[in-house]
Amino acid sequence: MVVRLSALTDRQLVRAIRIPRVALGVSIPREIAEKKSDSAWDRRSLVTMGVEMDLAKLIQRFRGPLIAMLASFGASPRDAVELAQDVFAEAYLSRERFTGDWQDVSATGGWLRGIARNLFRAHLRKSSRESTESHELRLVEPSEPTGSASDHSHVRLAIARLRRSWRVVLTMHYLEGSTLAEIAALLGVSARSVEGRLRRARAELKRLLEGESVQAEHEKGDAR
Amino acid sequence: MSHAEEQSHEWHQAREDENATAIAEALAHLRPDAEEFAEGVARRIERAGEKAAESTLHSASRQPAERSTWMRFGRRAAVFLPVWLLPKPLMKLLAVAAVPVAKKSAWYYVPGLVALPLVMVAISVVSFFYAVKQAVIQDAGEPDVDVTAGLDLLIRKYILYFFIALIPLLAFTGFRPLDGAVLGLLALLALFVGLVQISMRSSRRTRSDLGVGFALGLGMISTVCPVAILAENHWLGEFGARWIYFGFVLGAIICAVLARPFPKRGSLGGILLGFAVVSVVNSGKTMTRLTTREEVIEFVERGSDEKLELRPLSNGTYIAALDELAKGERSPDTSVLREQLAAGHREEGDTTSESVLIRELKEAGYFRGRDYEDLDGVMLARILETRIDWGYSGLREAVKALRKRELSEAERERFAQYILAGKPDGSSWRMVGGLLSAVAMLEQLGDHQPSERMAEAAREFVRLSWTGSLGDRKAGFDFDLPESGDVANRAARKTSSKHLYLPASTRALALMTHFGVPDEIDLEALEVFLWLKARHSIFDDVDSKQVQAYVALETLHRLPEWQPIAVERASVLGVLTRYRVLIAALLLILFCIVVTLRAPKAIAETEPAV
Repeated sequence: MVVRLSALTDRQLVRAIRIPRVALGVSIPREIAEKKSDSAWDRRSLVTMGVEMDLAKLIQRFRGPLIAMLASFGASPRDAVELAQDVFAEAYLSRERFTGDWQDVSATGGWLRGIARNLFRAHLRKSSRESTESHELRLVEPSEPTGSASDHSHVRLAIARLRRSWRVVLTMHYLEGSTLAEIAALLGVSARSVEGRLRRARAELKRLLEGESVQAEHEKGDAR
Repeated sequence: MSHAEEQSHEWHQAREDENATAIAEALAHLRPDAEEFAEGVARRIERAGEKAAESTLHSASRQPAERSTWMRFGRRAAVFLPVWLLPKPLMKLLAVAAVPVAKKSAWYYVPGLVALPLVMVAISVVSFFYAVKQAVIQDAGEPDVDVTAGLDLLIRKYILYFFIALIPLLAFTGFRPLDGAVLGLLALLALFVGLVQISMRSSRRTRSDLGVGFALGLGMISTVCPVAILAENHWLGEFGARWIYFGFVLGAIICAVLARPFPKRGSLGGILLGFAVVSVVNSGKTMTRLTTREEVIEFVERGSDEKLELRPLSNGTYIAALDELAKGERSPDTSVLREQLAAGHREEGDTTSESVLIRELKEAGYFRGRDYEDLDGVMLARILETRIDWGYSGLREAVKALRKRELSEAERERFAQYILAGKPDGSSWRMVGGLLSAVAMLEQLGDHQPSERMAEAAREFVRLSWTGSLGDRKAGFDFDLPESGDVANRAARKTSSKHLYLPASTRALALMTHFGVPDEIDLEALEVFLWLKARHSIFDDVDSKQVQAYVALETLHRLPEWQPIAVERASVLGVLTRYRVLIAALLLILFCIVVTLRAPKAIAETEPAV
């Protein structure tokens, strides 16, 4: 049921917002609780208070880590981008069902994670219905780079050799410089845990890359 | 620090890493153009809007908001109440309703049903980690709200859902008590999580506050434990449940020590000491041990506190105890008992029931109080000339008469034939006394074996009174009998409520001693019941029920059909499932300790959220 917020009285508005939020453990912004008149209730203030969704900000905040997460599920780079767009569109279309605070990174991240999982499962089902050939193509396509793809192929290979949980966090962080809180919200773990994984991923990657360079020098020496 | 500042700070920090640039560039193939990406999202929304406009009125009336509310409810309820825990009638109802929707998915529950005990362990472990995550990792930066709102949260989010989900379970019988106990402990876990979240939201989340709260909570649960879990039926006694009590006490003490709520060391120590004393006293109910032969001897030597009611053999605790003790090496001193019996005898006179009791005592060589040599042969002559009534009183008179006169060989044979020709009707417990007396008389009259008719009646009777397993592997005998031979009644009885009675089990054991054990009887389950009944608190003396149970247990172990259970090393999974209540309780305690440890010693000043 869609209710025009401007048509509600103060009391109705506070109740309308309070009931679903308390049910989910989301606190009520003080501004709403202390609202005295209905003069300033435009959409912008509702967005500021997290009552309404700001799609652009949501995309800006979660685009990178979401694509990385979808890629970690096994989607090809192109599919990951497409699926991420689907996720944001679906989140927008079903925003009425979100009863949390849009400013709350943890709540919105969890919401997006749920949608992403569902869409990815649907994507997999759809893929399996298609021909085996195309499915196999999708499997060989993923982000595993070939040697001739770019100058950073050795970095990609090293990333691919990382433990999965480290690789996911590293990719989510470095793709668009997302914060630990955003990554944590999408993965459903604590920020401290993300920080730990990221640190270990960096160290391991450094070790792998250094090992490679030493080996390359040895090979050069041998060739001479 | 604002979001943008935080983002920038972390980004720059990351850039300091020498590989940061290389990593970022290596991932370029995943990075879309921001504008194109946003346009793609907009296109999808636009397309969905067009589709929605074309949708029918029917699809619009599906009320997605309401559906989602119910789905949310279902999901939350499912966290605490797995579907496979529902009792069979409700499962059938659900299965019928679900068949058109999901024929396939119904099969997914089959492994769940088979592996229910293990599933309960898994649920406990998963719930533990989930609870710790909810209680510890919750973002502390949320704005404060009043406690009323927190209470709303608690009721709505956890308790209400749990108990609403529990109603159908409680409405039907048949679920296992052990799994019910696990569910109860999960409810406590949910309650604790809710309380922690309330304290977080009202800025009372220091280690001291949480520790004191947990110590009080665990302490309260520990006081309820002996009464609620162990005192009456001992249905958890064999699954390590008595350690649950000590776990709660220890957990309360650890939480109190971690909290350090008292400025002076002495006051904390004093309170802990007081708590420990109360706990030790309270633990008497949980600490039990099996009755021993020495304790039965002490019981007999102590005599009765009340005036002894002289009852027939099959009911007499003292007689049963003396019979049992007569098989051992050491005989008890029965002077006190003899005196009490003689006093009771003087008061009430020579009743027939007394004479049966005293006969047995005399036979066992314990009673020398009254001289029964003055025999009256009139009664025996009368019985021998008339048809023997298979009711208990008729046989009782016959026993009395038998003891009063030496019988000739011909009279003995005639009397035995009267007994063997009797037609026992096995529809009441009265028959059991008669049957047992008849067997005793046949033994006295010579080497006469009970008739096949008697044996058949006895076995049928044992089968009818057998309760079958009532959960937790224990079973025994019930006084409430269906009509003899009425198959329909027997079937109905399987689903009706049944009760285990120790005297009924004692008599049934006596019958099985003479007439054999029917195939349906699970002696191991009967042993579990008797074993639980034969236990008593370490702080109390044995009473008559425990002596009865001890004698019954010894009788059971002497049955030719009894085979001692081979001691095998239990598998890891076996131990896990058997001790699932203990595991759930320990996880609850561990939760309290972990959350107390992870709580800050003092509240840090946090930047208020919007």
